[in-house]
Amino acid sequence: MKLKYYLTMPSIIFLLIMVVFPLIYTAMLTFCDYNLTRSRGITFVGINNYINLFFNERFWHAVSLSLYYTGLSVGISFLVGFGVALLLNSIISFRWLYSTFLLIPMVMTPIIVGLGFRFMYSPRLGIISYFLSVLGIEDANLLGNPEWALITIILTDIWQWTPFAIAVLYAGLAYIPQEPVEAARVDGASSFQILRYITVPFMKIPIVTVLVIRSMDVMRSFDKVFIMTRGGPGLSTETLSIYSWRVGFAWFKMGEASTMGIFMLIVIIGISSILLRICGSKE
Amino acid sequence: MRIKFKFFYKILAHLMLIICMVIALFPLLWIIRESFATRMVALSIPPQWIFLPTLENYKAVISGDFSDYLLNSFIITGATVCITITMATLSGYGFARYKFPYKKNMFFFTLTTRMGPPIAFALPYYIMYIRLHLLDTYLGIILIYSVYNLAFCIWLIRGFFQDIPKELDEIAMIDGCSEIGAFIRISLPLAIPGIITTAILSFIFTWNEFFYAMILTRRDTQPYTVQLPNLIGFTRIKWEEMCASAVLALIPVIALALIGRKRLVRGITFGSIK
Repeated sequence: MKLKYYLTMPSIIFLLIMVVFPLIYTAMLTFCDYNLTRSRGITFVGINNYINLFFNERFWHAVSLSLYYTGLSVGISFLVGFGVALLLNSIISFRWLYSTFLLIPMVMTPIIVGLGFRFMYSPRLGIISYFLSVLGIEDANLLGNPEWALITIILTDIWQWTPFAIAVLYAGLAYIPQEPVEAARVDGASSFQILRYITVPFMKIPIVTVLVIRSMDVMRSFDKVFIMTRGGPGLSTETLSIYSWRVGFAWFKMGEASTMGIFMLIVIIGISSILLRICGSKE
Repeated sequence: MRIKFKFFYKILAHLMLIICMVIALFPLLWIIRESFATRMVALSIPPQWIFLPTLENYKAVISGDFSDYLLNSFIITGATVCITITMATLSGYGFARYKFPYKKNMFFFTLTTRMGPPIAFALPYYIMYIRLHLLDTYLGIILIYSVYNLAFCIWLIRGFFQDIPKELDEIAMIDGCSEIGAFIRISLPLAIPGIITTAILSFIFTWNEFFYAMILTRRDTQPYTVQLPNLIGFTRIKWEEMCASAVLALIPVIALALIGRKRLVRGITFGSIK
């Protein structure tokens, strides 16, 4: 029985040292004032960081942008993904072709996606601006306009991650037993009724998986916003991950940045415990 | 009547899927197009659809220092995948075959390391690495990437081992195999496809990672993800060269994704869907 420990202990110890210890350090920093650019070192300030954060308008602005970003991106990519998965499931020929190539955006480096789209969105020179001008929208400066920048980034995010929803939901559809569907059809149920009363209930786990994994991923996503706008113009795209990076690694206010990190961690743990409850009931 | 309707439905479904596929592939194809275009062609609006492709951009990129950054990415990603997969295979087997308390908490823990906000981990690592002189070293960045991947890989590989009936190991042990022999001779070969899928996924995650690399590496060990945005100079942006660099950087991930596509879904959902 010793083998059990030889196999698992190295990883467990490694993870405990490398994950738990840094997190405890971060949690401790939330009670301290620590600016790396000053030589004063660490000073204990109690719960000041939490109080400051609570009254920080820029922080709540970032939180609201993150929620808006997450809601819109997850919602739309889920709906479109479900639609495409149903389409894929309803045909027989060329399935492999579509399902293979539809996956490509998901594995592309987010940095390259961000740069590529930034190029395509660029006014006058970009292909998307050209398409827009063909449609009659002249001089579109999508990323340079505070009203449009965030929605443009969200659209790019939807473009990249809808394939994730397609892949997961399509895989889930393959496991729906055919007997109830046939029986319902014989009884004269409409396609919509079949979808509502048979498909969706059977798809509970894939649906929850998509929603939760995508929400957590969007909440923490950094690369695309950073590369496309760096939070600008103004503060119009400054999401929580961008703002916390700015506080921590541009202003080097370690205490405040850790407070935000812990805040995000709690939010994400909240979401993942929901996933645990719903998916864990299966085992 | 019904047959006719079905026929139209099929045409419509294929049409919509083709449109989706075009939307999904267009940006990649556009990047590839730009990478073969001269500067004049690359920036011409309305776009010049037919032109003579040129390899100049690729020549410039390969002779420049971008290949050094690609090499850095290969070193970092390769080492990370080797370390993670070795450790994850051993522990994955352990967790699949033996009883452990707090099994459910492990899933939770997996999600925290993989999905936790990068800032919460990057801060303590940054401070620690300054003290330990690990900033801008291969060791430092490989270490954090291994942490980032390990829990998730253990979880996945554990699932793949669970699919192999435990009885096979037991029969081998009755026939005189040792405990470790049963693992190496029976379970391990059967789990190889799953382990390869996990390796592909951790390769893709590490290859594409940006945030930790930006904070924990400098000149010497920067992977390509950090270097690529630097091609946007102050005076002029070399789009064509950037596109050529991007194509080179995308080749490994797209190739791997196509190889592993059948099992990829299980991986990206943490095994919650089989």
